[in-house]
Amino acid sequence: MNCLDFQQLISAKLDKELTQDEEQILSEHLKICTNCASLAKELEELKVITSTWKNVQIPVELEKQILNRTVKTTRKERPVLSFLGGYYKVPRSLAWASILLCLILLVNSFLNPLSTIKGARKIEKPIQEISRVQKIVLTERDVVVTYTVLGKKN
Amino acid sequence: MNLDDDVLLRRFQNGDHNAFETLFHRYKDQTYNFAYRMLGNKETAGDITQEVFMKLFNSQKNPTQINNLKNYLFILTRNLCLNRIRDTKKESSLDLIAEEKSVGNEISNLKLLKLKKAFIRLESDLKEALVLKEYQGFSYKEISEILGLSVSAVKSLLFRARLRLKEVYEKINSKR
Repeated sequence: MNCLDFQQLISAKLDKELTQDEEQILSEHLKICTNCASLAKELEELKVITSTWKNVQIPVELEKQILNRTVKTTRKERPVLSFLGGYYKVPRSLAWASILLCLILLVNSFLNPLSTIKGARKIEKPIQEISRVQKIVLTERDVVVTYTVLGKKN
Repeated sequence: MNLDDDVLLRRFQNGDHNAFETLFHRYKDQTYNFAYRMLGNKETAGDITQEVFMKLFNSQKNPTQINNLKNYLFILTRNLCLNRIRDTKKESSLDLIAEEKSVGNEISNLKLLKLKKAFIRLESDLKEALVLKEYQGFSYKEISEILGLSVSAVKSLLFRARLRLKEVYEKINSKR
């Protein structure tokens, strides 16, 4: 091994990527080679300075922006009455109130049919049908005798 | 509950957007910092971060095989950063100059500022290797997967990166 190989080991040692054997060989070399020992010291100092460069946090605005463009966009709730295609923009509470009112009227029309025109017609219909099937049955007593008077016409 | 990436990714691909949000919060800062150190500009780093997560989100429509989400995100970020560097032909250090004004006269702060300046001047391949090791804490094996290199190549790359950083740092140091 030459000095270049040992210098690579110095770098790997800073990265904690040396085996025990490699570490042993390197430490033996550094005892006898001032050039490599000096480089090891300099690289170590540089690593200390490097470690003082702390991470920064992503700006909150950017974080919101990314989430808005991804999950928040697809999670957007569809408005009530969305089937109207956005032509009618009504407050949500008003939309729900309208739906509730329609339901009440519908239920009411089933429970109390006479109150509606349709319900009234339903009652009238059978009466008309009964009157159609009425039969006039004539007996002998009911026969009226008719006389024909013959005469000259003036 | 701290679910692992694979579980969350599967849930997200099955339409669970809460899983995406959890993954986003887990990796947003790492992605942002990686891009920031690569480009030296917070605004551009923000754009890159946004693009990365948009791509991940859109992968739900066209699911791609993601074996390791963390690696996938860093490969994506790295590629986008390299594209940006290639397109702009320069890596802005405006933020670092701005930071210089706010930094006091303390020796440690001054050293850090010089290091940042040196860092920004590194070649992209050296810089990305250093960022992945020093700031993201990846192992040589993980870096080799992200950069598409062998482990021994990563070892050599990191050694060259340190030598170059030392050289540029000393040059900046000698100017004062």
